[in-house]
Amino acid sequence: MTDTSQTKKENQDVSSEHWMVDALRRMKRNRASVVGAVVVAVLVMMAIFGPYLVLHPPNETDTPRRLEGPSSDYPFGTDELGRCTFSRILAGARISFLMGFISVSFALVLGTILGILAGFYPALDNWIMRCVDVMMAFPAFLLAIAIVAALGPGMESTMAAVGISSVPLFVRMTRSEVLSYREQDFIEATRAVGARDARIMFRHILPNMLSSVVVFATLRLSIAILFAASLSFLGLGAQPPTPEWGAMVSTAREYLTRHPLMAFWPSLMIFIMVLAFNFLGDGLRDALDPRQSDS
Amino acid sequence: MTAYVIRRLLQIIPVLIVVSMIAYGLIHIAPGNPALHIAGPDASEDVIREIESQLGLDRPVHEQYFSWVSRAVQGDLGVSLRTRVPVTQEIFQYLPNSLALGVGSLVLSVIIGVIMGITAALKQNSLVDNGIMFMAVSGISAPSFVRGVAVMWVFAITLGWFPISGGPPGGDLLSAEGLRHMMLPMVALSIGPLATLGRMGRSSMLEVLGQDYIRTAQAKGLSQRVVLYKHALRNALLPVVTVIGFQVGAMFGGTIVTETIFAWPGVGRRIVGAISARDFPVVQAAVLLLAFVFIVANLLVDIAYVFIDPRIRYD
Repeated sequence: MTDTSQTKKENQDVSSEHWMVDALRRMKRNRASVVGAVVVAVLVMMAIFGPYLVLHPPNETDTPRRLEGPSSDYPFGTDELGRCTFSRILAGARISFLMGFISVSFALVLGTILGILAGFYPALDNWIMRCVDVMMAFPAFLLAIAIVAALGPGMESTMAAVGISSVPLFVRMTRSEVLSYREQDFIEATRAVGARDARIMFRHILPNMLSSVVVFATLRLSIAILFAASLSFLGLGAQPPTPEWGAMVSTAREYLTRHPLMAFWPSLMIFIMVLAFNFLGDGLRDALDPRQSDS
Repeated sequence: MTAYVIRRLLQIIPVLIVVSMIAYGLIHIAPGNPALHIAGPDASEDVIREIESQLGLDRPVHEQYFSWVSRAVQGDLGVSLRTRVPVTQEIFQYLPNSLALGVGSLVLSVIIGVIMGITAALKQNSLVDNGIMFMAVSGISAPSFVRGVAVMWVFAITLGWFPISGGPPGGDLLSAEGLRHMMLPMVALSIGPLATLGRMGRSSMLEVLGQDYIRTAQAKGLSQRVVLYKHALRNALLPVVTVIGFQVGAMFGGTIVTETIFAWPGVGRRIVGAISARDFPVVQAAVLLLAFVFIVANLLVDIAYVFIDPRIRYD
């Protein structure tokens, strides 16, 4: 992590161009990551506009036409209650993104504050990092499940669980960034003119590392969405009749023999989404740190 | 070496103490009276009172924790609120199934993943390479529940080769029927680590093949086979071992989901059931046990590095 930020700083010093412009140009050369970025953009559009584009209200049942194949009325077919799978998929994009976005934002804010404090005050460092170590002693998904167990199943507890279980990663990441800035001249200078700690931390160090934190958060978004979908699949996250993709696959499992298409669509969407995020993430990583690129 | 292992073993103790605090504390994280939470909103006063005294919730928290831990050390983790069976007995009935599934998948994914990665590296940029890498990226991108449902649909429903779900008949894991039941969950669980190991194996092998000592070995006239298997492969496997360590953690989530899909009677499926039923003694015990298995697995991986890579010295 320290290496990454140093490279970036060197880039900043050497070239007159902003390093992000440089990174963007490198990323455009990687075709897979461009495809990933486009697909992610389409999915974000779906999340924003999906609920207005549905053919039927996502929870409207049409019992006589349950478990049907694709038709002009129902392009993706219907589910066990005769609900339109296409409309539920569209509406589900927003739920998945929202759950991922809220939990990552939570982890981002809490993790960044703790990470800055740990990096800035050696006295706090030990305490905060020991807590992080203990949280890392749990496999991430088990930690999330344990938190849902404590709070009780539901969408709010899922978001809290996924958020809390990714806090340690954000703490580690921001702490190492802060450590790389703390001893630099511009911080010394700020201190010399009499700036207080809080001002140095949040006005001088934070803006410098914001871009790496945001990139990291983007990469964590797909994992957060995945965790939330998995918890919903297990019946611990979004509850029926919420059109959540993981929960939809879970229900469709019971009809796998008679109507496999019902499980196919939400599975495909989750697959495409994670694949797109992976492509985008690989591209971002290579673009921001060319030395680490895969051979 | 012995000193290193002993030191690592001692380091586990404080971690385990804090992990046990978290596992026990789960019941107190939720706001409000935990007994009310367990009993549900419609429960009568008597039921709540009974749960309180059964779980010792009427005593101070630290007292509760110490009595829980001291009983846990003696192998008593309380009684399941739903089945009324001692938790230890339940967990140890499920644990062998989970371990068999986890270890089996890990072995399967290491063998196939490494072979795939090496093959892809040796035929770099060929159709075979692209095909293998496409499968690897797909495998990584499918979450474990999608993999599980897909494997079930292809091999159990469409082809009918294996039973759709369920545990080993009569609890006999090693019988032919037991293995047949374990096959699909094992395949589903191994896809993720297999794909990661394949990708890792490929890039690691490519890096090694570009090293000077490989060119030296070829220049001095060694046969291609000796160069590949004695010089390249052994060095290429080192980073792969590191990745196996990371995969162990990732597999915990996969095991919980996969066991639930295939109704495999393991600890993961039990914990999901216990959470839905608010059966806290079981949840606490399962969280504690799984965290313990994870910590021990990480320790084993760390120790394995020292054996595999003589350059690493921990003293």
